[in-house]
Amino acid sequence: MLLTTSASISFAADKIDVLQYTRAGGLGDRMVTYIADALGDQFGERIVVDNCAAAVQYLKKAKNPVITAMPFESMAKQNDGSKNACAINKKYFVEMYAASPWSVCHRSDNAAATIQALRNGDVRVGVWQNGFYGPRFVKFMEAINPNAKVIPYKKAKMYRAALVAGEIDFSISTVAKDGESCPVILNDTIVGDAQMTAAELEPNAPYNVLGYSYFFAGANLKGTDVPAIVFASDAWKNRRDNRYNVFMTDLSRNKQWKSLK
Amino acid sequence: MFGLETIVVFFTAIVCGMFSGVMPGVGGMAVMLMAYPFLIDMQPHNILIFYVVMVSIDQFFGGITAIVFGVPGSSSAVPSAMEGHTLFKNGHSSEAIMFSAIGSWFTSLFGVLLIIAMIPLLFMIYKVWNSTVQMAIFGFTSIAIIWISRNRLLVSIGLFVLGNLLGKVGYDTYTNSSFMTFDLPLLYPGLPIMPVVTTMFVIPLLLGSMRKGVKVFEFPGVTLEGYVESFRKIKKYLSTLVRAGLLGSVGGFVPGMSYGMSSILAYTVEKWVQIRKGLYRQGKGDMPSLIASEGANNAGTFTQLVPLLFLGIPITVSEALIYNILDTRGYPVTIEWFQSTFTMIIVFFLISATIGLFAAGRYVNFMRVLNNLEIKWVYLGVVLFLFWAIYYVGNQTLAGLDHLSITAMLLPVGMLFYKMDTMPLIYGFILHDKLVEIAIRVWIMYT
Repeated sequence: MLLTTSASISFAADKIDVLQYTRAGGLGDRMVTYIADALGDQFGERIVVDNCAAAVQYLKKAKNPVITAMPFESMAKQNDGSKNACAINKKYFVEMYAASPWSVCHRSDNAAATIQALRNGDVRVGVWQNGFYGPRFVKFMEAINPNAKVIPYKKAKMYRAALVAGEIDFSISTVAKDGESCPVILNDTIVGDAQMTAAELEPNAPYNVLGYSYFFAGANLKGTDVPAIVFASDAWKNRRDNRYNVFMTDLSRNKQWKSLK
Repeated sequence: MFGLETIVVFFTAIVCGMFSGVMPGVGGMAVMLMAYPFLIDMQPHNILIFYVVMVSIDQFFGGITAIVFGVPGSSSAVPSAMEGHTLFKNGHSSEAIMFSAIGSWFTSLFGVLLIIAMIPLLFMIYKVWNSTVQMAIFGFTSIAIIWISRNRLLVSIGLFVLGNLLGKVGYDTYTNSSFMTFDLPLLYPGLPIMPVVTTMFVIPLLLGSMRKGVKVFEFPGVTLEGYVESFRKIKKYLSTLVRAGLLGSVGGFVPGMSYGMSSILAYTVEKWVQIRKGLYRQGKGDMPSLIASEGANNAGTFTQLVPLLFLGIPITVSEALIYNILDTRGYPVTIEWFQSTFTMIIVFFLISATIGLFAAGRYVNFMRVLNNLEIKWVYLGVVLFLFWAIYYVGNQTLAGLDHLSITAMLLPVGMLFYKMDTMPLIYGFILHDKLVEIAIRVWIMYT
């Protein structure tokens, strides 16, 4: 199997490889899985690298057609102002992919996790420990409820388990999991089972409209319109993450690129 | 329900488990990813069978490679390489292999029985597993690793800190900052585990072994009679098996720990117990510590499935992959469906553990072709094989030369450590991310 993998890296000229740099089973994995499924017979193989920095290095070295989905924050500068190791050059930017607003969620069976508790209670809110979004979640929650403690987790599966275990009362995530409800959405409008927008909850809270977004990045695609293939596919139409929707595709590629900078 | 596909899956999983166990750097997760194109077309129960059989067999074969050659196939096999290979060199090769394999089989059974007995209490125990408890366990393990090392205390602390620094190298998306990358693109992704374990653990271990005067490779092999005899004698390690089974089982099913960490914990506890009893033989290899490490691994292999089967929560990357495949294919991913597979999983797990027990013995006897070869040539072969494996695994992501360059950079440092026990460094490297993450969380909760 390994030999097949190695050989096909060199010879799969008509195929498009899909690059995965996030943990398997997570949102990033699902985003690239939609691409792989949409490609059908054109799908080459799944190349797995350790992280987004390794993905960027792969794009630079790849000789085969390869595509991936990268998150918006990979283009943000590092905290010290230097260039992000995960930032890509314009030539690897393909098009915007999808975006979803963040929501405040809790276990559906947790009767104590009310909006009142979110505003005034001594609650713990689990968030994704991310250099870009983490500080924004903290500022948002400080404005919503100064008594709340924002607890960072590296992986979504960790705060799912923490919600089940009762270690945290709420989590901020983009897609509700089984057994979870998301009453507050950080968006202009109500989506899904949300009861109110974050702006309705606290109009002055910073980042009360905040989303998570992906763009397509690829190399050697030679004019193949992968986004069009993905958006027309059943894999995309039947996606589990149906809060993620296509965005900014009405703008030119240049304008889309500028929005990332 | 079971048909030709199940039979094919079962035997393929055995072969894949052997491959991932023997091949350094190719763990169960890598095999799952390589098998991904085939898994997505399988019946859902066969995906679970593939995984449980593959990881079970992997543990038996990985342990043997660690004992015979001092090469840990994964981070969880580092203690086996340390204790097992030392026993191997000191003429206890057959006992080390048979006791660790039989001990692993017993702890596999222990894990199954424990979970069956505890089904009514599982959810309650799961709720106890919070960040504070995780911090206590990870903190205890880190301190114990430093404390029980044969180095002087300050040296072990220094090695642990160095390991943490090596673990921090690279660009970190969680802090949006780089550490010691020197603007070199090859360092952005961080230091891969294989070059670090090879240069900082395997090479110092092998150099240290050569210093101690073992000249030729000698391995009498294992026999069926030897297995039977070892089965009879295993009861003298009963308390070790219970400790390892318990720590491995509990460690396996709590999120964020996994059977790799529970193996480290079981080894650390066992070594500490043996030192306190005055039975630990420094530099000679310690059978109970080896059995504990290998046994905890196998117990955790089964119990790690429990959160998926009973709560629908995948706690390892491989399980998340399985969950994702089932979900994207529209298969049932309800807790009821997972629970309905429980008996099937137990049966396949115990069958594969039994096959692993004996198949590993057959495999290890092939090693006798190396008998009477000068040990330096065997070790040279091991090191060259590792360099090739580093290149090969790295090159799957077009980073083979990068990984070899990192190996070359670390090699001189590793060679300086040939008189030391470098396990604190390796564990500092492996545990770094988790330790920091949990410490931050606990700090926020209590301040």
